Amino acid sequence: MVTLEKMAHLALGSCFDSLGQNTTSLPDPIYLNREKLGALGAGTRYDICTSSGCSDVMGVCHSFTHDGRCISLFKTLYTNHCSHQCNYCTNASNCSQKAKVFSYSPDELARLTVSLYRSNYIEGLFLSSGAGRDEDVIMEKLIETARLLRNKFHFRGYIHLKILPGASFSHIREAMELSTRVSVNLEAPSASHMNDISATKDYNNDILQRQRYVKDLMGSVGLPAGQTTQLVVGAGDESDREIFKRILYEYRELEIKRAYYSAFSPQEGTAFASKEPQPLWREHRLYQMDWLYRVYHFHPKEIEQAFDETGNLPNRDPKAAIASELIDGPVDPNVANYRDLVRVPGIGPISAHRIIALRMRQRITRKDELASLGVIVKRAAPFLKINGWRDTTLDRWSA
Amino acid sequence: MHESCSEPQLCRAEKLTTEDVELSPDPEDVGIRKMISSVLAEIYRMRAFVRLKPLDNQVLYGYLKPRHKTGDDICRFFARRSPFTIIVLGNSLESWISLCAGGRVLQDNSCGSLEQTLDEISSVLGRVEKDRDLEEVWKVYYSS
Repeated sequence: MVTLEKMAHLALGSCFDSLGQNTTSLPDPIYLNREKLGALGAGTRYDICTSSGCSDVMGVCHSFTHDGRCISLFKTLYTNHCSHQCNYCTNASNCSQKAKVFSYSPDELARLTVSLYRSNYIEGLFLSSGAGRDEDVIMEKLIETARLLRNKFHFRGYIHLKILPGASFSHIREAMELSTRVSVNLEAPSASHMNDISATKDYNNDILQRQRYVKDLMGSVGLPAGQTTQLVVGAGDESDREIFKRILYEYRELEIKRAYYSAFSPQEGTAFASKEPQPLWREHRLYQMDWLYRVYHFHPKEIEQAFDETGNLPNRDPKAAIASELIDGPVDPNVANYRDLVRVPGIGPISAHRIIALRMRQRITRKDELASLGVIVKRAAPFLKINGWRDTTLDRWSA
Repeated sequence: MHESCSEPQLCRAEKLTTEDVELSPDPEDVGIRKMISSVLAEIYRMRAFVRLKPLDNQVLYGYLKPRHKTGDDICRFFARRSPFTIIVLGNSLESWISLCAGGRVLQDNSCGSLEQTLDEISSVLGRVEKDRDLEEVWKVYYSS
């Protein structure tokens, strides 16, 4: 145990603290323009950092660490001024009901972030932006903000920087050196779909090429949490199968960590204001499909079984649909391997590992033993055979 | 540690492996599993919900009233996040102080209430007290 006097001496004697070098007084108070804070926070409404939806509180978004802990991020635009013409976006230059234009300065934004971090309102920063008049200038501002956070304020928290379409290679490199994660928004699954929703973005040069730059730089620069991307779902007439094919390419060739899906919602004043909104269940089914590939390691040919004749995912659990098509007979949890166990609805990777660990100690004889391991027995029971007895009502297994 | 963890339970828990904790159907082991979940859940919640206010640029303080014996752990967590800043957490009965300096976390557990501890720190540091509103700190904690 250490005395308070010793602690005070050490604290007073420090040359550095999280506020920067040789600070002996508090930083200048930040005058909070609440209108700006609200506008730029609201502007990131459709920038996704979690699959579980966003907080109602503007500027705060919740994400999850790899160990499942929920964390809060300060999510904001640097500026809501944008020269692009994306038909779904309220910041677009062709939006007839544009909000008032605001912008931070790098110092202002860095100080605000550090203040929120020290008070434990947030654990990190999610920084996006409109492209302004020149995306190079705006990228420089985003990087300057991150540089101030890391070097001047010794901020060690999470930073997620958006790479703007068309950003230069050197800017991408600098952004990666300062960030925990970066992302480039795909928005659409192909160039032709992109042309339908944005007249000013070149899909191959502005977006895909930037993602390739990030991938190429990973070896030399490193990026702790990798790169991610996101798509707007339903702004164009793309099918879920087309989205799936694009995402497969992203995971395999560009090695992204995650993809996010944002159901299209028409905004007043935009070119797509009169379009039908996409149901949220479509976004939910895409996330389920994504998890089957990324976490459960289903083969793409297995996932194909979940699409209907139009190439879309119906409003039904894709894993259950695939299981109904592909599982040949009841699965015995006492002998099935991991691959077969995770293909049973209601059994995920964690409960599959627990089943395998438990059966090394004792035989599984009852459904409630599976329930205690985290198995959702109601979903799994029709596909299981336990102790020779099976619950299945699946017609094609009746003989 | 869990608020109602007994010595026999502690001894038993020390002998369990991670697999035992996750899988054992023994009622005593199931009870320990629930205790562990409860403590971990509280640590996760407190790390997210505690709000800190600056006393000055060297001290951050906040309201904390954990159900289990987790005050030390939570205080250490914030100390590591803000090196060379004294972190003081507490309530009307007890408080915890931590400081991360030179990569090590120092703690003083001989503390009274949050109010008393902040008074002591203010006198040790020779600081003029700014407007300290513990009631407001509690309200921010509660609403978060």
